[in-house]
Amino acid sequence: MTLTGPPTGDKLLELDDATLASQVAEGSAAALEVLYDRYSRIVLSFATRMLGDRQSAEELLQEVFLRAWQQAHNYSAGRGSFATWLLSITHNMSIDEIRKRRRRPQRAESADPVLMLTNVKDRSPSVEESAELGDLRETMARAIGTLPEPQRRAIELAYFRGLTQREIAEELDEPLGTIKTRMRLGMRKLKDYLETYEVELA
Amino acid sequence: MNSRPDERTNQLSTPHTAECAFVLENIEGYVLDALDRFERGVVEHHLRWCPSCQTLAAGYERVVKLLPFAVPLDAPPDLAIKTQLFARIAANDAGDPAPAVRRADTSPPLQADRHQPANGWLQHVAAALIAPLALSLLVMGVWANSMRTDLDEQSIDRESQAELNAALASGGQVALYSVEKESSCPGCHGAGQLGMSESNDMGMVLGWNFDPDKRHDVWGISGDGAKMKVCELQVDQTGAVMQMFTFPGPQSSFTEVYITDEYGAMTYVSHLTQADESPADDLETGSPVS
Repeated sequence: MTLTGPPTGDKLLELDDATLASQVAEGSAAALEVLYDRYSRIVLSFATRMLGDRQSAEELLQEVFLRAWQQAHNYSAGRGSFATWLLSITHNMSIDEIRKRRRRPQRAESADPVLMLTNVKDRSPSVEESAELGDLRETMARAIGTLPEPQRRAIELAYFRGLTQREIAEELDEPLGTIKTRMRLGMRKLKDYLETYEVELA
Repeated sequence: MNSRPDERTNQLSTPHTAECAFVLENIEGYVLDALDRFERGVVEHHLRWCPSCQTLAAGYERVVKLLPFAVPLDAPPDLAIKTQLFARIAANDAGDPAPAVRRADTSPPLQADRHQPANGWLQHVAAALIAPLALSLLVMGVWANSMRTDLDEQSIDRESQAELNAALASGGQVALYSVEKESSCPGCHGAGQLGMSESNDMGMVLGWNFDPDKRHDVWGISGDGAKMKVCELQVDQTGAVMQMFTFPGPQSSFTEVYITDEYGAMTYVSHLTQADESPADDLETGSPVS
């Protein structure tokens, strides 16, 4: 297969994600580069929260886009946005890495899980980010902000640390039923909030 | 017990049934991938045939997909990372993208992908027959995981599913035991999990690689040392077991569960275990995101 050259200017930049993804599937590295410019920052930020250190996240960032390069043919716009697809890849690969670490003798441990969704340092839109993506991040931040800390923490430990409800109960020294309740209430609140604000759910 | 199934039923146009209770109780844990293997298997099986619960799960899965957007942005990556990435692609280090015609594939949603074996179980069995290292943990783990899927599809009818749901959902919590071969049984190759409701006498065995030509009786030992036969396992021709049973007494009084052969010799023992300790979890599965 022949790789296409570097980005071909403004035309490529104007294409939507789905079109770019289809070009990636046909072997356009230039299209992938545009998508990288759009989403590498959010992928890196997300991976950093997942893995707890930036160096590991940077390594994962490359692997995520390599995976996207190899599997772009599997992306279907009908099943959701390219961004959610890419971030799902990031999540799956991060969880794999976290579980591998858990089986190995402990190396540098990840950051305090409490801070995964709450340590808000920068909500400003990135230069490359679309207004739509910026709005979505803002809405999600507000949605998370509506959760009481125990509910948020239960969700964080499951989603960002890959812990089961039983493991969370042990880690927090709380009854399993309490964790289930917190998770249920938190997820329900998030869903209600997003539906209320008519967020297009992925 | 924290479930409020009636309240949830009212949220949906399609009503749930009593069989949905366990799923309603655990759907958030499922979409967050926070259930242990046993619970996850129950939910996944139920979702295959229950449209109401599929709808509920799909709604929550969409929320989960949006969670990454709540993360605050850090500084952008260094340019060197991008340079290195595209150098790898240009050097074909990453391999080519698969042909675009495959885009028409209708692969299942991502959440489901994470719980499915990467290949069909027949492939693993074939691999096991060919490779002399078939008994390595890797192959055993993949095969076992695949077998579970096969079991889910073929071996539980709706009646037993309803029974399981009623049994487990009414109790809220499930005590999980690993099923491991007894060290003095060299001919035993089976493994699995045994789950028991903590509030009633219902339980379930999920196992694979048992000898279908041998008898397997499940026994419980109570705290005062009394032995009681629980049931005889119904092993199918593939060596798989998925079976509900009722304990002859409150299961909380049992301190140990074991399995014997037709001669009464101990073949398998069960230890109370934490979630996700089965062999398949030792695999480094590598995110099948298709």
